[in-house]
Amino acid sequence: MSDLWGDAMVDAFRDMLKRMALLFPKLLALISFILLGFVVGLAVKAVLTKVLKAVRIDVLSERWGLQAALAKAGFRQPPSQIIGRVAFWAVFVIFTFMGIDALDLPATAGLMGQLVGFVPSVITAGFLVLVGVLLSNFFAEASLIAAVNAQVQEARLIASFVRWGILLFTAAMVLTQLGIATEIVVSAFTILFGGVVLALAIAVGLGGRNIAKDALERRWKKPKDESDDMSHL
Amino acid sequence: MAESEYDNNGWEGSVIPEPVRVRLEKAEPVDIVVGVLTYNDKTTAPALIHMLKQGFQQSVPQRPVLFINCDAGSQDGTPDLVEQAVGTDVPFWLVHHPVHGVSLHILSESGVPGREEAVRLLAEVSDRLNAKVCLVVDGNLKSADLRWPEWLVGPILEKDVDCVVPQFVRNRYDGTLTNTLLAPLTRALYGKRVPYHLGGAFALSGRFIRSILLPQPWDDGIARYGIDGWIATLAVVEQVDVCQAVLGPRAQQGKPGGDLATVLAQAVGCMFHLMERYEERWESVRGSVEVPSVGLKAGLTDQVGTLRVERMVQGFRQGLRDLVPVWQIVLSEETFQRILELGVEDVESFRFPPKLWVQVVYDLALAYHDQLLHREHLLKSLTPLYLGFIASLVLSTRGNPVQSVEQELERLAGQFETMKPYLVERWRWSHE
Repeated sequence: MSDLWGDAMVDAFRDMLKRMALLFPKLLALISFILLGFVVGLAVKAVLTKVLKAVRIDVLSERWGLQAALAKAGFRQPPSQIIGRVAFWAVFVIFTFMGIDALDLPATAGLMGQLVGFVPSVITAGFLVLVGVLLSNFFAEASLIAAVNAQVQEARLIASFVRWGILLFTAAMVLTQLGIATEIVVSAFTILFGGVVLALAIAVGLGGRNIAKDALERRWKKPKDESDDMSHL
Repeated sequence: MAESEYDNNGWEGSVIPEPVRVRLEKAEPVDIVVGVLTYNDKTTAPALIHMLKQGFQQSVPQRPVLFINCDAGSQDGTPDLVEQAVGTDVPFWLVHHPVHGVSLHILSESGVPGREEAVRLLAEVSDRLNAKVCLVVDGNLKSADLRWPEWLVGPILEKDVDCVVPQFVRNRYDGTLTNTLLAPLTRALYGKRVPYHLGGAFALSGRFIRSILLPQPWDDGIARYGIDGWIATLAVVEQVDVCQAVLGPRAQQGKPGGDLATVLAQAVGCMFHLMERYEERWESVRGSVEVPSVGLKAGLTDQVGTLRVERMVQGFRQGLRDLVPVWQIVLSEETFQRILELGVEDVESFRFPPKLWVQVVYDLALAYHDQLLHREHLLKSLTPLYLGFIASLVLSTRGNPVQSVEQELERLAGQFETMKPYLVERWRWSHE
């Protein structure tokens, strides 16, 4: 009885030691990968920030209105630093996933492969966000200036519609690209867009018929009466 | 003397179309090339041709003249009517100048698309014919006078002048963009007091065409912003003799195309574009000199058209309400603050100080140079500020004699000169 108990204890202890001996290098690999990811991430962040500053990305972003858009979204730092931080975390996460893969756990098998497979979609989505924000700024600014110069009182409202219209469209494209609830996004976008157009049509057709009539008359009739006959050039 | 862009014996770099090349090879040399630019101008161009022809017969009967009609593709039979008006006793060529896409969306002051191509073509033809003068006239003018050829061409033939620019007699508040921005800025930058009246008619000497005009790079900016502003600037940038011909009132068929913001963006954009191109020429210029004048007495008439000052103030007020984020980017902090302080509650007492206007213009030139904003947005954001300044000018002078407007404009031009160091310092700083 005591022999059996002793054997069981020894076997269990030996097994545990064997498992520990197998797990220890993997744990060491995980820690090494995390440390390496931290160091490489910092290095990538430093180099990328310097390069972006050298190509005057912060100045260009301010000129294109990207800085203002980021500030509105709560990002107060210059784009070179934001991109640097994103790069750091991207490198760190990749190294950490490599470490987790090295543990060879059944639950995390193929994690790295899935992550790598998802990278192109993330990059495309990031590019879409960037283009969307830039386009929304550009067209909102253009419509605001044009409406102010035409002395349209609702200039800011028009500019907001343009900005949010483009951003909404961009958001739908990004979510579709990432494959997140694709059907729901497409349906929601269609319903929302169709709803807005229908609401506007009903509002103009019923509630604001007279206002629309007045506005159209102002637009097509008044300029002839209100224009100065001075020549500016 | 700089060499011409093309080889005189070949056609490399030439914009002259094939049919004109054939004519040029057989053509006799002429002293004067008269280019009439047309685009659906059948109601005005024939009378203009009659007037010019008679004018030349009176003022320079012994000089051989060639009439060229540069037409942008009229659909109303203008070229045929022009040909009939010229008759058979004077050489006449009809040329259909090319119209490229870039100049289509913004028509020139004359309403002729592809005007820059037409002027370039005329300059090249004049050079190849060894003409002493090239006179360019808009076909939509109704106010041409028999003495125009004498005033426009005479100074070049008799006094060896290189460029004759027009000055028209205007109503007291006409040409406000020219009088409050384009002309005073040109004067402050380049040191010559030219009227900067764009379009209508101007004359260039063969020497000016050969050594100054043709060797210049003809980039897209020229087409986008207009050839007239470029030639007027070129005449004051280069060390050449300029003369102004006061031609009387300017009456033309139809108004220049485009709304105020587009006109403003085109004209002011041209100035800012050329400021970059000729920055080495204007930075060191101090003060300004008068240029000689021929023709009638210059000045404003007392006539006032329909002016809606309240609408102008309203335009400024709306800019103040809605364009603050844009102005904050393009104006300096001090200028922006002073704009915000302008009271617009009471229209009658609204005033926009001239010094502040000059500061606004210089700030915008610097913002354009530094590309702080998309350039077309930047230029168009000036419109409400311009309306505010014009409203203030009208409000402060409308009860006074016309001389007070002239004095006010002269004071403004002086202000542009006085404040030029503000521009130069910051322009240099932006390079560092």
